[in-house]
Amino acid sequence: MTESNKPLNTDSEQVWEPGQLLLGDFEVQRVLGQGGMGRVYHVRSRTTAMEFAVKRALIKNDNSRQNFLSELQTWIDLPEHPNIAACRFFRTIGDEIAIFAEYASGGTLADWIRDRRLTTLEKILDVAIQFAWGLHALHQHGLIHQDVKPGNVLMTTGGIAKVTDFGLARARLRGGDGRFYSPVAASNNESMLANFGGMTRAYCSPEQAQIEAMWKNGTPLEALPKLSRRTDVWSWGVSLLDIFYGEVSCGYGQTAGQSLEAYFRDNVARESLPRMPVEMTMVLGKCFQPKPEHRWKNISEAADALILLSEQTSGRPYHRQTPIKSSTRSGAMPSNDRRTTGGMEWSEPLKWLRKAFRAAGYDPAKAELHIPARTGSRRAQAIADMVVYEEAYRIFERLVAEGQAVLEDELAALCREKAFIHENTGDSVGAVELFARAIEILQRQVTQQGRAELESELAMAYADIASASCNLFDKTVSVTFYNRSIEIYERLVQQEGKLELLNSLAAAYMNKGSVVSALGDKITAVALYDHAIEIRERLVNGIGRSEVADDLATAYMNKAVAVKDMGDAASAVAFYDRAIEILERLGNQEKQRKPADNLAMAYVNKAMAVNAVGDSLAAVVLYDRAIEIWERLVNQEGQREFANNLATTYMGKAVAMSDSGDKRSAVAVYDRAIEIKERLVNQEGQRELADDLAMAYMNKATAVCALGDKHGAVALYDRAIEIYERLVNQEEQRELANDLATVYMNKAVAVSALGDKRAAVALYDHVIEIRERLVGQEERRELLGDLAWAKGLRAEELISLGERSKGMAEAQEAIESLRAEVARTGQVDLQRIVTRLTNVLSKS
Amino acid sequence: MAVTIEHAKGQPDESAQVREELARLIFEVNAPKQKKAERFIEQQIGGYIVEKELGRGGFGAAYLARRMKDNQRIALKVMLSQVAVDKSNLEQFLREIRNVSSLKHQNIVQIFDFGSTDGIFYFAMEWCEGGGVDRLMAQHKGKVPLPLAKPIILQSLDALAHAHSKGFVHRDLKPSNILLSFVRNNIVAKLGDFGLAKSFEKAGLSGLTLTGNYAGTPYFIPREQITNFKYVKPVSDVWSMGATIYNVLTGTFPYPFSKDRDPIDVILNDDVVPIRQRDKTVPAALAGVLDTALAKNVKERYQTATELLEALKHALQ
Repeated sequence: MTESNKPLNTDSEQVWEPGQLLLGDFEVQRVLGQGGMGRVYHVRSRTTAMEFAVKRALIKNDNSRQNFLSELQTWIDLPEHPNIAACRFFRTIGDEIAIFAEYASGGTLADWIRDRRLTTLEKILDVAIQFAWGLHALHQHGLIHQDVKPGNVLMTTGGIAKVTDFGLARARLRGGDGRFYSPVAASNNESMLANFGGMTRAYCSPEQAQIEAMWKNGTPLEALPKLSRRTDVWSWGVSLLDIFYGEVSCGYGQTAGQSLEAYFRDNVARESLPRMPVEMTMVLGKCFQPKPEHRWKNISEAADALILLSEQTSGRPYHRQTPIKSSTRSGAMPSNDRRTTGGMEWSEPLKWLRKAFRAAGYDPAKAELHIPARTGSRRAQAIADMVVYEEAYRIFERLVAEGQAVLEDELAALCREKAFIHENTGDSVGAVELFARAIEILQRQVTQQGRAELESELAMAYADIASASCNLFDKTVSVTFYNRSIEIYERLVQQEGKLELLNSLAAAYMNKGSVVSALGDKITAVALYDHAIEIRERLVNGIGRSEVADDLATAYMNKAVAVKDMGDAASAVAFYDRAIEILERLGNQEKQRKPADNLAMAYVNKAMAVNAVGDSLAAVVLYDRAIEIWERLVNQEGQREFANNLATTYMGKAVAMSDSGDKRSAVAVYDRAIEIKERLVNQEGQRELADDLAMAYMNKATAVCALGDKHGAVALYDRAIEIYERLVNQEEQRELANDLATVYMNKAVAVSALGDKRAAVALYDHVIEIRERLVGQEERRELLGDLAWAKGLRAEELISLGERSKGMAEAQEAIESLRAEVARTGQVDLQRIVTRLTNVLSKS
Repeated sequence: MAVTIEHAKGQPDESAQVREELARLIFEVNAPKQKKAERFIEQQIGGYIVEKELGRGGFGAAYLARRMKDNQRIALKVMLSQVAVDKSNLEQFLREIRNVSSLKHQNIVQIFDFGSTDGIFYFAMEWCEGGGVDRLMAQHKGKVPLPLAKPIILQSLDALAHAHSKGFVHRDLKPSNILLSFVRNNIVAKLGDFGLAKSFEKAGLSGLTLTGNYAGTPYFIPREQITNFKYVKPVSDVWSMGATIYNVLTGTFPYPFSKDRDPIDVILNDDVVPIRQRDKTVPAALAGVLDTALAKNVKERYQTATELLEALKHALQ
């Protein structure tokens, strides 16, 4: 393995160099910052291309490991919040624990300050408000950050600020009990802390500095004054002062009040930065009160004051809304939901820790003491479980390494379940490694020890690794694993009559089908789905195993998708019907909640297939059924993860309505989709949905245009253009460039209809420029037709503007290009434009 | 190999050779490696063989070393860059160092040479066998008797006045930065560390802008520099020199620091203790000069080291 896997035995931290590979997959990009505990790095996964901020902590012994992992809890228990950078998963590297957290591609706020990227008061206030919201969420959760500074705020390129905790706030308040807590004492000075409380001098509050002095002077922990959330209020204020200074504003955070005075007294002009308004001074002044009780009581009040200021200075409402509090909902979360999105379950972690303790000769009853209190989101719970699994895993691995071979079965089972948690937290590479470890053990047991009873587990592990690896490597690797799994299952079922494995066999066939389908071989995929359907039909209808009905419906849906991809929408509809029939019956019979989203998905899929064969009215009915289910899940049951599905379904419905000719109703439905997507993108930080949103605006514009409201359409096209421009040019999503060109083209048509032919020509120029670049520089030959199309429309405008000879020559040229494309690719819709241009030419 | 310092006036020489050297430095500094200081003992750095460690500072350590070409003893300061360095920062640092090395005075530690190798910076300087004044204080149970302190004070101030006249500000005056050597049984004090640490920090090489943690204790720093760490004026050196003399003579600091209080809080909210309250044996005239040097308000102080020197000479007559 890599160099970094060697255990470290020095006090000083080994430097990770850019380009270095960690855990065989994560390539170090650069140092992001420094925490009290170690450096923070930006890494990118080679297999998944996912990026993370990785924090490192050197762990000297089991005691501090446990301490550290329970500290980690404070952070991973935080609610999902757009202004908090979430912890994804952690891995052990030698004596270090590496925590993989959400990465935002814009760097830190400290970078933004240094580069003077916040050039208007509005932008500054926007960051300040979000920063405060993130801290407020921490405070509501009973946490005090204690190391608030610009270096601990991650920025997305789109300007979303996310508070992170690079030092992992160690001293904290829990549930308002007001105790100053520090693992320095908790672990008998076997601390992993590099500095007391993890504070940073340039941002610390006077009371933090005072506590540090007393602590250094030997004051016992109990006698130290208690910190409140208002220490964070002070440090937040210092961070904002930095923004106006354009650099670090204080050598010592305690002097922030003087730095604020100096800002006005010295009247230093800060190049490219706006002046601090008086209202801001008042907000900061209230942060820098020497006595904590004189400061802002809640940082959200300070945020409110800044929102008011933002609205006064800009003359328009602040564009973000206070993020929804998720903490109140967490109680409603099923606390025993230990399942991956693929439905794989892992056990209650205590079970494993007890086993590990028993095996190691510890008191198993003590295991309970190591189980952290569970709160917060599903992901937080998964990570909390992972902490305990990690403990158990380390004990088992150690015992096995020491020669206790009898524990290997247990270790294999533990690896498999632990892998599910890794998968669930987005760490597929970690999952694959664990599955591979399980397979290695099981295979050895089966072949060398003749333990035939472990064969079904081996087959299962092969299916698991196949599923976990299908998005990581060449998909044929995954197919090979499925084959191995199927081979074992088939033998066990056929030769040994183990009929209880039939559904697992069906699942392996089906999942292999999905991978093969993704590889493009739809025919083989359909045959594999048929295998799965055949087995499951026999189970459900032959021997009455109704619990498999849901799986059967899924197999039908998969088959329908493959069949539709092969161009046979009519057959697809029939298979969707079969799936829907099964799911509806299941829903009626057992009042099961789980299949509800499957059923909604089936309706949506069928609606798309039905619309594709031209029956848009039937599609609308199906979309409505799906909407009813999604609305219930999202708005009544609080399953907000389906909100995007709901919005997408509204979009689908609107498209179908528009196709059926009812543009007016379609517009209202687009509005609903836009409303939801706007909220997801702008308030909940799901930036990856921004292009969907742009698409919704474009579709709505087209419908509005068809209704005759050209002005309205132009405004909507502009909104779509604004989003696409940002995505393409600021966030470098080059693949959206042609979509951007398409919106410009549609806008040109609307502008032309309004009579402004000159403006239309300018817009076509823009479209042509984008597409020529795509065709020329990026060799996107498939866009030649689109390019010629735009040229043809521009030629038409030129002719109507009286530039006849130029226009006619260009039209002629466009016709030739279009004909060539029709001949080359068979794109029939291009023929329409050829006809149209030919007419124009003949009239001229 | 090291960049040879040319004591040219005005713009630093940007000859092709120097640029090449810069490129090499940038390349090396971009691959920072943390090394334990002990490793350097008996190793070669530049044209020097390291003999033993003399002390540690914020960003590195100082060693006694031997110059290979003539076997002369020198002090070698070694600094480790904590961050990948960009070209402009490095150029700024080298420019400042080149500037500072042009400062020549019998009471200022001369920088002979500097360079970079293996991702570290090193500076070859005059070696002062007497060590820092802090050591002298320790030898005299915490405070130095006035007759012994007098030449040290006057020489250091003479050096500081010279530096101020050339436009340099020290920014980090304290007993340990006044080094001692002996010439024909006479004590010679030399101001050391002129701007090195601060330039290192300012150029972003220390990693401090990354962490926001500024090293060191603020016992000798005037209030205006605490509240505005970018404030760099000779009048702040006057305060620091006053605090250094105060400390050398009394073994205490001007501010009433106590171990269970944040020192910054003390500087912000308390007043300097007049020196005669610490030690009644300090002559009244001298005490008056020191209290003026230590005025909270910069306008009430001596404005330059020259003014302080004249006042002290008068008071010590």
